[in-house]
Amino acid sequence: MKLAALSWLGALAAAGAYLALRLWTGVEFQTDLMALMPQEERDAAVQHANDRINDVFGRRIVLLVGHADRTTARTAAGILVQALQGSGMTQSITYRIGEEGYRAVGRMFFPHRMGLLSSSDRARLQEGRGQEIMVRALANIYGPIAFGDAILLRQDPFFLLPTYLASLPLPMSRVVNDEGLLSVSDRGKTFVVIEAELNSNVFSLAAEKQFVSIINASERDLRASAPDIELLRVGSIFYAHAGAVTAIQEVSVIGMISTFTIVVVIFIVFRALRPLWFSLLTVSVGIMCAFSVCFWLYGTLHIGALLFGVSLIGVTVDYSLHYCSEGLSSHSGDAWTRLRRVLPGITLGLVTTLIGYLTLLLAPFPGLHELAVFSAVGLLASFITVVLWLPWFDRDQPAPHRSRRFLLAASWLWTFWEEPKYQRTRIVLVGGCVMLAVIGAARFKVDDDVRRLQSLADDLKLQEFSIRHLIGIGAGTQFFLIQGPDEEAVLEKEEQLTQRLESAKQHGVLAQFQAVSQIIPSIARQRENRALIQDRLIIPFLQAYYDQIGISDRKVPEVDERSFLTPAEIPKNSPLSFMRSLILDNKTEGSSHLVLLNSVVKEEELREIAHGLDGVRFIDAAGDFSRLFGEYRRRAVELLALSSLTMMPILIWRYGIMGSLRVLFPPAVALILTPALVALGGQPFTFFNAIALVLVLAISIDYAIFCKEAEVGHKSSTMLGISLATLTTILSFGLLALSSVYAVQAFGITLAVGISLAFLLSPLAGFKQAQHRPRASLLDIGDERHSVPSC
Amino acid sequence: MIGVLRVVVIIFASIGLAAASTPRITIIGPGQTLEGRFQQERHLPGMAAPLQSEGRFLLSPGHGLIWQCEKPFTTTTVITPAGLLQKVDDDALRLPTSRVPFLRHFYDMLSGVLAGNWSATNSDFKAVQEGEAGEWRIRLTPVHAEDSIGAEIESILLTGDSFVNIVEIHKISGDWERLVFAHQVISSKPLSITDTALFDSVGQ
Repeated sequence: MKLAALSWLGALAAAGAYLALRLWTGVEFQTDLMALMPQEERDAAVQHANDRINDVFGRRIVLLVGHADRTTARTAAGILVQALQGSGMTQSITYRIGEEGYRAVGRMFFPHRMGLLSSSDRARLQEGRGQEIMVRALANIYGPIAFGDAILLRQDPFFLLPTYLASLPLPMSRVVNDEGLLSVSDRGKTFVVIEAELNSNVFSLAAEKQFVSIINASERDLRASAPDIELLRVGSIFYAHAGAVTAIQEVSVIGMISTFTIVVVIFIVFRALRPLWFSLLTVSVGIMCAFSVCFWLYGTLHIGALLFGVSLIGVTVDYSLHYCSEGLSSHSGDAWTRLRRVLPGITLGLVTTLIGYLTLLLAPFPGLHELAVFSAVGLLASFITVVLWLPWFDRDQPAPHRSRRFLLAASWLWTFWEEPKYQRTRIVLVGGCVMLAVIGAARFKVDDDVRRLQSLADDLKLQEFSIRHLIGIGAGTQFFLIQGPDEEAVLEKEEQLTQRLESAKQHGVLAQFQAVSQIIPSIARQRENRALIQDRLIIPFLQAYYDQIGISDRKVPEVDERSFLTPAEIPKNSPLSFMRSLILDNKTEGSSHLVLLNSVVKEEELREIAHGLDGVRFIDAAGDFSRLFGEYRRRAVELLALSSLTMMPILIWRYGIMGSLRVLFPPAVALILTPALVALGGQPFTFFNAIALVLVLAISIDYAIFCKEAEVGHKSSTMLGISLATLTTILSFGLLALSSVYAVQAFGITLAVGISLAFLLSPLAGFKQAQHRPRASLLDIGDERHSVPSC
Repeated sequence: MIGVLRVVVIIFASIGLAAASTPRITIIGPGQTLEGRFQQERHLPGMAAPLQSEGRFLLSPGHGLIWQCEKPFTTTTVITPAGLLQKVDDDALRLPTSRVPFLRHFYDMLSGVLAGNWSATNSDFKAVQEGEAGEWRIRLTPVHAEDSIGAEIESILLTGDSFVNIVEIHKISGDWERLVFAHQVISSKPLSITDTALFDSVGQ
């Protein structure tokens, strides 16, 4: 044993050294939800599109700097842009669009002007109303704002290109290019728009923190010189940061409170410091090992897995509590005897829990994998510490103390389930519980909407709302994906789609959309347009038009018949450069485009629109996350059932069929009743409730096993161990119910209810023996006066 | 689209510079409007005769400009802070400010000038007074040859007394045009319902 204990020390030293090394070199916690996406069964193209959307739109931030004084706002924007550039965390910043950008757009379109028609001009020519175009051109020439000069008049006599340019959809409808800066005026304030694309590695806690603090620092600096300056921001990074920060802050505050309370409770019960540091030792060894193994395996850890994982290994404190409680029992014996007595219980507890976690590995969800490995390693390490080390540290003669009343109090629960005089109370209690559960079950509902589950900071929501109001763009999470064998096919399909979208827009299905084909028509369409212009405008009207304005040389504009405009020509750093992000780079064969949808009102109708268009698919990034959460929730529940089943063989081996059913009974009841009872409060059932149930199963099976394993004469100490375990669990994780982060709260409430139920029901697992010896527990307490507590 | 700038430039430049150079020029105060008739001649190289048009205009600080051409076609052009509207029969062409870079900047200058503050124009034009104080002539030349104004306009010549009466615009391309204003009246009457509706319809 000594050798084993020493080897364990060696192993821990190695793990500790590895962890220290990793912490030294800098550890990154992932906060990107995308990392939790399952890797299986996704259409490669959709996956690619989603990655791309996430890549482009997830990394996009928009900042608005506003001030009543235009110059102040512009100067402030300049300072902010410098800070952004200085951060080294941005890939590109769109802030100043100079004349050159507009000229580049002009240069792109001009050679192809005879193939470009605004949709209304196209309709006019198709319906043979070319005359209207001529009249408009004449009115323009005679009017105060001629689109062009004598030269343009020769090259584009009917001013089709200016009309086309005027018809192009702009992503930000209210935004003006004010002397090179994108700006918008509202309520007497000038807001300068800064758009930036962040580097791809910003979705780690440290990077988020760094980036947000840079923005906040610039905001403070700007405020110092101009107190009224307003800085609005939108972007996933701000939400991710706010969510992670709130969660971590709350969890640490709640953690501090609960740690303190747990220390006080342990101290009061055992009147000794040893159980305290035993518990701390086992938990910290568990957490340390869990971290090092996870970093070793995955290189990083997702913040979600971390939060829940730390909670799950909180169970490890139970092992040392059971061991220490055994020391309070009447026939405690020496340290090794005590260990031997709790060993079957904690071993079975460990094995069943490990089985439970390992089933999580069966699902293709990276998040569940990390969580399972983290918890399993932590539990195993804590268990080994209890078994190999605690007896070595525990060889002194235990100090006498009066913990009898705690033992008595703890064993009352046995008495409650055993004594015939409580029969009526039991029926009332159980009946009441079942009734509440039935009512709760009726109110039970599932909700996976990611927008509900994320803790969206109110302040940020408000800013996003303002930005949407000011510049007319939102988060952008809904798209159509269009795929085809080549770009031309994609553009043609897109034209069919945008026609439907246009009419959907008229019907209020959505507010706006952006598609590449709105700017660059397909070659087929350009050919059609050329024919329309030639046959229905130039041939019938050009002569009369020239006669009217007195042009004598009657030259027909010439264009290159073989050259067509293609999306590749959209210039960078121009007002249209945004459109480039809608063209997906193609890793596989073929070509694909996105159509960005803004402010979708009727999602169902929108989904219908793509019906019958081959290769067109509706993509809903927020919806995908909701589905992801739904999938995680379903898998968690399935795995819960599966792990209960996989625990069976080992339970049957130990207790026989009836015995194992008895052990499974309290956890099963807790698992069934908890969701129903939680639903009583009107809370929907989410992934976070489901994952809490995984913990409820792990813990309640332990409680049941301990009760089953409790020997006569040690029931009260077992029950004290369970009570303490329950108390510490509720103090540490049940308190999370107070959190304002929805996910944490759901987790906490479910855990508090589930653990309480598991605790109350646990004696039922050991009930059978009790029936043979109805007074066992009382005798047990009676013997307690001679006990010499050891811990 | 430069044309949009041009008309705004003419208007603000006329009034602004006139106000600065000659104490007798009338500044339009808040709530007032300037109304009158115009005749426009546009000379394009390669054309036998200049393109001629005439009609009515109305300038209202805070609202914008209405330019109604009556001959040879009825067209209405409205420029406001929200953008530009051009109506031919029932057909309307709208250009929100977002489509016309600098329109807002010019609109701001116009407003400033109308209120008697024309320092904003200094950055774009250099002014040289050529005539007497009673019957004055001012020649404007763009300061920056490379920007959108400089690339378009060679010079603008203004002639006036208590109002701007004639504006001649010479372009780099060789086009030039002459605007003659007449029957100019400053009034404090509220805008007519039709004109209000025109201004309002720009932003729609």
